[in-house]
Amino acid sequence: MADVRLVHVTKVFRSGKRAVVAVDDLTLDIKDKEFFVLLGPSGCGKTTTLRLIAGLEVPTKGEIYIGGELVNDIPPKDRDVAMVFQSYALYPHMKVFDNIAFPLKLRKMPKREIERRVKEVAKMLHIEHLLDRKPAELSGGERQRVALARAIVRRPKVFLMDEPLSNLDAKLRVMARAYLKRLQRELEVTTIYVTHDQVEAMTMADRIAVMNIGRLQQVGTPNELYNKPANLFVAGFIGSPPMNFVEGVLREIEGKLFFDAKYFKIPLPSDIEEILRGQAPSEEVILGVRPEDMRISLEKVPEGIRGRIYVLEPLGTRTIVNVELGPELIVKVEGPREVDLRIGQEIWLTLDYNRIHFFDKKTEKAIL
Amino acid sequence: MRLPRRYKIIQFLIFLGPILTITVLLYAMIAWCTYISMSDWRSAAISLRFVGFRNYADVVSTERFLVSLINNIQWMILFMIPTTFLGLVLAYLIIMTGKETLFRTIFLLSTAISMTVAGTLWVWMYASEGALNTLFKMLGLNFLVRPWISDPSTALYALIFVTIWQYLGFSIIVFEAAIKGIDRAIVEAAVVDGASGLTLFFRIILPQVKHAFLIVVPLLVLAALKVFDVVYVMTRGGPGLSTYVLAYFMWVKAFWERFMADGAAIAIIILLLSLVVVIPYAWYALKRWFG
Repeated sequence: MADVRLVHVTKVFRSGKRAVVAVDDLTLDIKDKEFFVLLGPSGCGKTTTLRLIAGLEVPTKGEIYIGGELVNDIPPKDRDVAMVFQSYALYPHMKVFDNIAFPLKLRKMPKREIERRVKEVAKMLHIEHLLDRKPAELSGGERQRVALARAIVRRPKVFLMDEPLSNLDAKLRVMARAYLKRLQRELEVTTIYVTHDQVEAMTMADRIAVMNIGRLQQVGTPNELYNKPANLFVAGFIGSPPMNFVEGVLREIEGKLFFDAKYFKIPLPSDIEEILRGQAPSEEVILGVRPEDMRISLEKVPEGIRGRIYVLEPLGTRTIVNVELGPELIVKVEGPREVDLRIGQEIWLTLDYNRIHFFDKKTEKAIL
Repeated sequence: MRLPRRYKIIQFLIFLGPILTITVLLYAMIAWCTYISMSDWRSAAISLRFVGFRNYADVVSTERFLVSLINNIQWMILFMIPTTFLGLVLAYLIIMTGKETLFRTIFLLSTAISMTVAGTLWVWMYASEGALNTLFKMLGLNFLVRPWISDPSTALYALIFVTIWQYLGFSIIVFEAAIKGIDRAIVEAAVVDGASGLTLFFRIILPQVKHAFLIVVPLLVLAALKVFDVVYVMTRGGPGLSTYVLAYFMWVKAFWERFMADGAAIAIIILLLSLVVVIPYAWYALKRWFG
């Protein structure tokens, strides 16, 4: 059992004269027994980070600690970490039993003990009946569990998982998500999990680190990231459908602060006004509102924003209403369940002022 | 590549043209050669009277045939085994260095040279005052200095070495492609699991390049069975019979001594020996093609 610490870690890949900074000055503190997710779009450096922790890559700068021990110069096999690969990376020439037993055999464990441990793990993952098969004879879900078994059987200090569910079909993935989370709770092993799927991250993680172009954007619990995004990137990346962004300026009219977008103008409540007056470095801001933080009314309401229904996206349990506030300004709103809406209908939107966000347009950092 | 059956038939039809051409040209010639081998054409004048297997009996009972056969078998073993394993090991090491293009070029150069040129080159290398002996003298290894290809005890092995040198590049490329075909993640998984160096090579890499052996081994065995040019250029079968091989014996019989029927008989014997290698290989290849 161990915590994992990355201190100012940078990884630069060089090929010829070109240098690509894959991970840029990353500092992370992953607690013992934590389910920690690295989340970000492809190319954000999350997989490189995982490979750095595994020892498959050497950091250009910075230090990596596992269980308090500096591991920069320790080869992968001596780091006591187990990795589950996106492609599962099962050994095609070995039977499932030998696949799972491989790391134990390399550690010169007695044969009896190997057999006992492999069977125990196989039982835990419901793959006992597959032990005599070759990987090619298994389904995607079964392979995934074999890969997991091979990691678990070693009882390592840390699990590293590189998008282990992304090759499963949607239905299986949802199921695998739950059992993986449950398994991690039972085994109590620090787990670092890489994914680009924000739903996976939100549902499984104790804490999430959001990364983009090699840089850490924010670390926090799923709720923190959802409710208090540190910047525009995090706000837009987490949540489905994503947060609506509206560009505008803060304008003072007769002593009162207004948010002035091109097609509408709304007065801001005094508590928000106070915060914005104190913090907004520039007038140009971006308003961020999640679809569920707006309400649609069919009658005109004071301070409501007038719009027209552009299109409806029914999802069964709810309907996402696309509202046109002006030319090329469409926001997504979670629609009321009981009211029938139709395309082209005129409606008024009111915001939940307790849940709106403002971002500085230049720095893209959250102001509110 | 997995293709629907329909496409396999189309593929087959596309290849039918070349297959037919080869059949007519090659197999008709083989049939012709077989007939000659059973005729009494034993001088410059063509004579095609059928004599059955008499020529075969004559040829097989000569000392030259026995020596050639033994030399060919030695050649097969001493050439195929090191070329295969050196190729595999070097391919692995080359990939580990990350300088594949450079090393591939270096090793392929010898394969690219024609056997005749290579033979001439090595005649100079092996000469009494040649490069090899000069090098040994410089290094103080005087006990190694000898007339490599004029000494009957070393001539055959010196020639075998030349063919290893020539074919190593081929072997390396095939194994390099096979190793590079292994999913990188599998190797990395093994590294994280605790494998390194020899364990990685023997337990992960080697089992996954088996198919490359199926290409390299039969082709090298066939090359050893057919070997002619290097003998012709370097030693003409000598000194004595020490570097005699079947293909050279065939040439001598047919085109030097003008016993055309005997030459044809040796040619057919070489063909039959090749079939021992080719038939299982072709069987395997066809089985894979048609699933």
